[in-house]
Amino acid sequence: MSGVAIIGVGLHPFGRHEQSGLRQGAAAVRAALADAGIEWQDVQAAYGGSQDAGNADALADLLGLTGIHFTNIWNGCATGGSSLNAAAAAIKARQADIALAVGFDKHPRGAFAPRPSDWGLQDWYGEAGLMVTTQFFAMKIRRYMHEYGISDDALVRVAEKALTNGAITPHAWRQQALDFETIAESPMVSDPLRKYMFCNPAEGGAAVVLCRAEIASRYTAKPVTLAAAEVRGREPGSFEVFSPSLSLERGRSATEIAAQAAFETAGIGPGDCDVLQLQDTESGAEIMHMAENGFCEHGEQEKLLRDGATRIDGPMPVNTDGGCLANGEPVGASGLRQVIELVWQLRGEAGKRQVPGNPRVGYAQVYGAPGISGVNILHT
Amino acid sequence: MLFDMARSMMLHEDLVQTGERPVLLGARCDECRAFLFPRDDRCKRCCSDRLQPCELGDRGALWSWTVQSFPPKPPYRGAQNEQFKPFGVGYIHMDNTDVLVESRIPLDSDRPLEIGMPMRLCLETLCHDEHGNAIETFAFRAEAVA
Repeated sequence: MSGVAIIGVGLHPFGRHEQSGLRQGAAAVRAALADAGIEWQDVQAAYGGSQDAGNADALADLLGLTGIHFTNIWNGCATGGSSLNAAAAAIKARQADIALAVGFDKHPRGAFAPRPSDWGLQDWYGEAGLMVTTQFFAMKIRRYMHEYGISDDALVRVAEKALTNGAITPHAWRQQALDFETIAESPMVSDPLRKYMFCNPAEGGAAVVLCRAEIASRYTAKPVTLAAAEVRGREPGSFEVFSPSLSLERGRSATEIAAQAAFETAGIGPGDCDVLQLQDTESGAEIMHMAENGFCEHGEQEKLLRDGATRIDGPMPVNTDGGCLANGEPVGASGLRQVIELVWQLRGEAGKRQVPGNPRVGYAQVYGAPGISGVNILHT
Repeated sequence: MLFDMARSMMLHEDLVQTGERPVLLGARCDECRAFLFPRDDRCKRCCSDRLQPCELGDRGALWSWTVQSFPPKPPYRGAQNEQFKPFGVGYIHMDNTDVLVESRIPLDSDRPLEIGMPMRLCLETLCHDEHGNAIETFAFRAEAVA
């Protein structure tokens, strides 16, 4: 089995743009190729996806028809995790020495409008107004707050920290820091979650070039090892989006399963990680994911957030580039943005938002409907 | 019979047994004893196909909730634009079962929603079809205080 290294990353900034989503994806790939110092012709396998911006393999028309197997991947908001997992698997299986994972998207404004039948559900569920992702996020965090004593203040602190980080991230969509009161008094969207506690569907592209670890030094002086890229689904009783009913007995979530698998694969534990990117579709998700990924006990988040533990200068920095809250969520690209931010942090190239003390181990977790989680662990 | 009179129709059959008092319909797995809603032909927990239709009753306790404050996009069939009124959404832990059922909660009472409050099944008019028939769906309301 071969190790896998990341030798190039590229981002088309998230936000709202004139360009098509596909072209934003191509721009991200070109940036990643340039970062790795290679040409598109050097890539031997490619994996990617988008929800609303077309087929990833159509990127070949923009990048060049080199005849490689370009696999389209689709796993909701976790698409980036699945693409990276597939690209890494191709290298481990020696199907390719150099592989690409790419994601891009361009969503209409407002909440997503999923079709019940696409998710194995009956039409009435959507017709009655129950198939809205924001409802799930709100109900999951409300129950969590009730069980573990998390306050409304904690929800505000997550958003405040995200926008503070976004303000020092040159490519972030939301670059204006907001104070506690402004966030706490912003309009209620899905009680208890307010306007600035939600990320918005957005546009953008993200690409990562991987290679067999043995040859990484040919391309870069600062290779980053991809120590784990695990994707898992849900178990019975896990509280996931689009659930007309749930069992009272809670099962392990997709995130808990993926996190455990990734730590086993990487041979490290939560305490070894220096910088974290956790899915923050809204403030509550980041709070729950801190515990589901093993970085604290359930309920401990209240104190950690009050103490600023997840700030860039804290002991467990989370979402150093402002996460989904400051960058928005082009769902095909979102998981790869997390990985790119980790690479920049581990190379020491993160500018004003650089985590101090030369971070060596990075952890990224992306979550998507209907209950799938991808965890990536990187180290220098 | 007055055939030209507008009638009430359920948004979907098999979710509720209508009558004097509505009852929520589900299924129970013969193998692992899990309750399912809506009815299905295979158990999500243990993959068994030995399922029996069952009633899930009409009462439960509010397990979690939120408020839908903006009109959902299609295929939502309720009112859009200015006609839209926010509605509650919650999971109800059905009495004498281990199942939580997701439901609309009409916000037509002054009682604030609270985890643990007793809830009762009802029918709610979601919209009207082109013939003027009321399309009804199941919903839960807080139990009246004695």
